[in-house]
Amino acid sequence: MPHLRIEQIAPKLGCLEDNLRLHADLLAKASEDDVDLLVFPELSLTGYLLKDLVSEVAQGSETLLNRLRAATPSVRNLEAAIGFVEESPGHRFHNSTLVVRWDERAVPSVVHIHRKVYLPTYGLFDEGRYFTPGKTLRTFETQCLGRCGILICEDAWHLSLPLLLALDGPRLEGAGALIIPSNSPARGVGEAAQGIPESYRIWDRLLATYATLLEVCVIYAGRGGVEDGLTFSGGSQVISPTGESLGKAKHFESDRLDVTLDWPGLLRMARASSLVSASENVDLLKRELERIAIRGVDC
Amino acid sequence: MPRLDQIPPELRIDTELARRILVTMVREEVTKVGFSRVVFGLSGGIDSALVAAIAAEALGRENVKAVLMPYKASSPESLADAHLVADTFGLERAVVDITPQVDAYFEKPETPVSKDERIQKLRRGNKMARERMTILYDLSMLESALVLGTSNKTELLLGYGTLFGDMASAVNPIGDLYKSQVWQLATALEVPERVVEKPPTADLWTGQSDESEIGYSYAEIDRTFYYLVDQRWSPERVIAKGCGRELVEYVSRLLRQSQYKRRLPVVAKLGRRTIDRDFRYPRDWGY
Repeated sequence: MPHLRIEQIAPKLGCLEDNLRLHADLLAKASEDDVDLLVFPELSLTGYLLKDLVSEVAQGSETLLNRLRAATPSVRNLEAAIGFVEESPGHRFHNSTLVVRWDERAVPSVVHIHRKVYLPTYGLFDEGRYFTPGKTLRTFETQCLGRCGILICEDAWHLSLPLLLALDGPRLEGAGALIIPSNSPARGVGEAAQGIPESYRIWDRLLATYATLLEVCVIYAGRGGVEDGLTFSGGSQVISPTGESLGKAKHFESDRLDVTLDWPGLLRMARASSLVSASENVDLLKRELERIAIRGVDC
Repeated sequence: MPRLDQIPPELRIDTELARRILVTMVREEVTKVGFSRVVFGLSGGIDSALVAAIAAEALGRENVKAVLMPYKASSPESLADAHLVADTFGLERAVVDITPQVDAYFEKPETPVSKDERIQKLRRGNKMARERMTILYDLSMLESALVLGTSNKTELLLGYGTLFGDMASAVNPIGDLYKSQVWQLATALEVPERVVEKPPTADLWTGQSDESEIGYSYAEIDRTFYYLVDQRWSPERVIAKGCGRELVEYVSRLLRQSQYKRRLPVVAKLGRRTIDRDFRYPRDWGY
């Protein structure tokens, strides 16, 4: 049974080398502990409130892979999702997640890169000022969980993206698992909060909803710690394709969440008893989207 | 009526959640930049009492130094209440009488005197607040400690504080809590009842009271700010909600007039990257 781990860390803001060492240590530990998939939060190599530091901590994915190779000589048979500031060959800066696989000879290779599509630029968020949005969304194969998709934080607040991931794959058999690295600052402490920040309660609802409606495993990796007065919500969690919680990390502080998944047993169980995701009408979706996007809403 | 019963329902908070976030925030923001200790001014009022409770829990009481800085006109009850709070949370304290240094300035023959008594009062009040600030920053050097702020959201929005005086700090744990919420959280954190229940005062002269000076109760002001600031309602809509036209217009005016107090000084732009305009780095850069 696949062993899944979320490292809910609190990176040092703008300190790439320190954070790289932390990642190398945690990757080595995961490898020792026979973890199959290790997920870090959004921007785990850099911290969140970077502002003008974005270009200073950016690196190409090949450079990062080479650094990881040098820093992880003992890591074997592990897949990991790592958050970083990606500098494209054309010198655009993206809020990206790199999925890496270490083979049995401790050689890492890139499985997938997701560039955050929706950059929140309102309220306390200012990502659009510093990052270029991603333009594509693709699922990819993992050894651990089969076909997966990544949504970085705000991406998951746009209904279209989880649906696309759930459909993107051979014969429309899309992702069976959504990996959601996030950096969510805690806010909203009204009397009805009952110990959970109002901002996080929305996450709780939408993660369970995606798991249930798309019949996918949802792996949410939050972060702990504080930056410039913002306390991050933590609360990393794993939800089964039937919408049940399989484990949850602490709020606000660094934590580690280990979950051993009956996989693909849980996926089979959810999809054997429901045809909700299987009956998604992609032709209708395409037709109506084309009408809306191309011909205008009134046609 | 007890303070807790006056808190508008809209403003009531989950005190346990707020406590967890504020304790985490103080611990992280102090320790990750290489400090373990804090100093702060303890007046005997509710705001600094709440900061005492949060700091003691976040850093351990042995790492929190309360500085009591009375002036000769300060009420003796304030000093007694400050000692009560320090005793309650087991805090080490320093008492620094600011009378000699404040009076020395105003008694100098070359210090100009205004004919306007109101201006004289404000000058003395501001001077006291700034003397206290210089003492706190001096002790922060001596103690290798950060200065914690004790301004709440209501007074920050009203501008009811002295720029570079009580508004100055390194980390302010309570600046996003309205006064009403300070009462609620302070009660939950077991600040002595006497401190919770007494009328808030800047204690610049005997018998001073915030609420009689401002002309409205904190509960009324907080509720108005909640709709204007947090909910972003238009003044007309807030008036329709029953906050009172005079009150809404009054706090809206103070909010705008005091904006400068909540910002760094304006820097004249000349170059390509000007501090805080297009030279933008987080405060926690490198931590």
